[in-house]
Amino acid sequence: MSKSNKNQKSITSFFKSPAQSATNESAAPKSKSSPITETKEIKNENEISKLPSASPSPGPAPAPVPSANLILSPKKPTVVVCSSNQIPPTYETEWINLSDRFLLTNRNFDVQYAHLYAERLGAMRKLVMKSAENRWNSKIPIKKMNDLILDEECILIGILFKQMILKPSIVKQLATEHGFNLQPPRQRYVDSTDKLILEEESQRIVLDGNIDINQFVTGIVMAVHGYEDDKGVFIVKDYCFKDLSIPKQLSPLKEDKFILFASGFLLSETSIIFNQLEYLVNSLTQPTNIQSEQIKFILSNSIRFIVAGNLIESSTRLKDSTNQAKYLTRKMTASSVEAMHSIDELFDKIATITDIDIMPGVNDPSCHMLPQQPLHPCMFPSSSKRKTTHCLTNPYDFQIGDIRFLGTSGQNLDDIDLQSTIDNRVQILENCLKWCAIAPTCPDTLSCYPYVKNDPFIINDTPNVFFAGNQPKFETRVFQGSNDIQVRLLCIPYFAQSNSCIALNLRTLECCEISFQNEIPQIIQ
Amino acid sequence: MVGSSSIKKRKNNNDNTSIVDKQNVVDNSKTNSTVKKISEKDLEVLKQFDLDMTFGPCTGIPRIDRYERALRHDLDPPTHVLELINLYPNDRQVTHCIWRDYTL
Repeated sequence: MSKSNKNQKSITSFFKSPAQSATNESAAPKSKSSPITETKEIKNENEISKLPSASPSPGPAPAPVPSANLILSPKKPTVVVCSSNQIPPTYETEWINLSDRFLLTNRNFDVQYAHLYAERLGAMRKLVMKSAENRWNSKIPIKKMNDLILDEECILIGILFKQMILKPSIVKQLATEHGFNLQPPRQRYVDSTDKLILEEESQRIVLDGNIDINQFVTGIVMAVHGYEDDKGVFIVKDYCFKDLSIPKQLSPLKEDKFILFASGFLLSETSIIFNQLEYLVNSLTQPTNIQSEQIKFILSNSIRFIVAGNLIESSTRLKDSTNQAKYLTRKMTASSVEAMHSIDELFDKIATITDIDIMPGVNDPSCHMLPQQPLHPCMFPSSSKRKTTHCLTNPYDFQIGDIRFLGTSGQNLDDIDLQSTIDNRVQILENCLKWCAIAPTCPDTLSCYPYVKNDPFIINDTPNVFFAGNQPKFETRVFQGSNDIQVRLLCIPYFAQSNSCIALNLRTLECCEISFQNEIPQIIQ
Repeated sequence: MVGSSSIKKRKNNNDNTSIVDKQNVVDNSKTNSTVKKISEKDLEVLKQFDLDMTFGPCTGIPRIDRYERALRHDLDPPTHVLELINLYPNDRQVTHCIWRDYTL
């Protein structure tokens, strides 16, 4: 099957801000390979709709498919499917947005989630097979489940499903009388009776043996090495996941440049952090007033400010006012409106000095399903007028210079924390990287769009920095993988609790936490 | 004499079989490729493609999408299925799976 270049978007997303569409066009000439079928689909879309394409098609015509001509489904493509491979930057600190695969141009909810799982397994199967062959003796056969022979040592590849009785289930809820909850919401759904089941297209098998059930969640594609015992359970001796792709060799920057991360402002009427926000803005806009040399240097050399979600408090989403009659609530404005207004003022001041990237979080007025679409620029009337404000998707994939970043607003980590006993949040981040999945629990317990043709949550290109916002505290670590892979893992704390931002040095990829609790910013050691 | 022949014509129009013929006539005028109806043997090939679990779930997506997914994952789907889909692009029996009339 030959591959070809991809054509770019022909339908601009409704939520794309003018700043974002400009940068997307600059990122348009992506060269790498891509499945031929998706290219043809977008080309067909160009013929059907008479809309002018957002960017000209750069690549050559796709090579012919073997045998008959493919007549393609004339439906609008759900996702702008384009390569997410890295692009060589034109200057050292150029920002390139690679999150196009998270933008939804069409919403089709008439499909089931089984297709997403089939796509995930199908796309990762060959790569997992390769890493299984590298890891274990190549004489051990890789089998399909219907070919299993009792007590024969073999390797199976499939997608994991974790059966948990404590997991909230709508079926159980409806089965009880009056439909009330069987149990109060828990902190963790882990139980001693949980089971791990490996699933393929047609069969599944229970796993046991050298595998810790509490360290895994649903949705991980893995290879297991072991044998089937007489009870029909697969006894695992060892397991592995897809190997991480080797990221591009980083050439260190000549000067120190910093990226600031913040998340979880959680603004509402009852917020008490307005003073701290004031200190933050003053420190950024007038760094010369700061006494500490180190902080002055960091803030004056910051090139980007990334807000990783949860701008407003979840209580602003309460539905009490919407359930009341219209005449009672006519004069009331939703508290989220006030909160967004104050956020806008804050971002306006920050946007005067540095580029600001805004990612939606679980509390924000964007869609609930992952991938969350960019917040509409009409919610930021003053800050969206500036070219330095960018509204982006959650998860967010981008590069600055040669450094590749990938991050979310934290819902994926929170969900994995519910389903497993992994104590350390950075460990969960590391596990997500090892599993090559941004959010493996999608769509099982974390709501997600029913993709059919691709799974955008698979980590194909290893990032250099992998971050997650809205975590209980600041934690960071460097993940050392095989083949000299090093990834900086970063958990960004809630600003509402810790009153601090994280500064990442692009030259050394080291982080430090700057606290704005008092008027004088301090670095927390 | 004239009256009785016109009554006969009306009776023919009320016959159920003529409706099917009318449908076929409409199809022929719209497309060039749907010259004839698809044979039972070919429908069986398509049905077996749907029920084959190696290519993943079949409900809710057109057959061409499932075929493209099978190609993408190197599962070697039968090319005859692709030819059939391309021969009858307007026949819903061919383009959509056997569960097409059932909702999610």
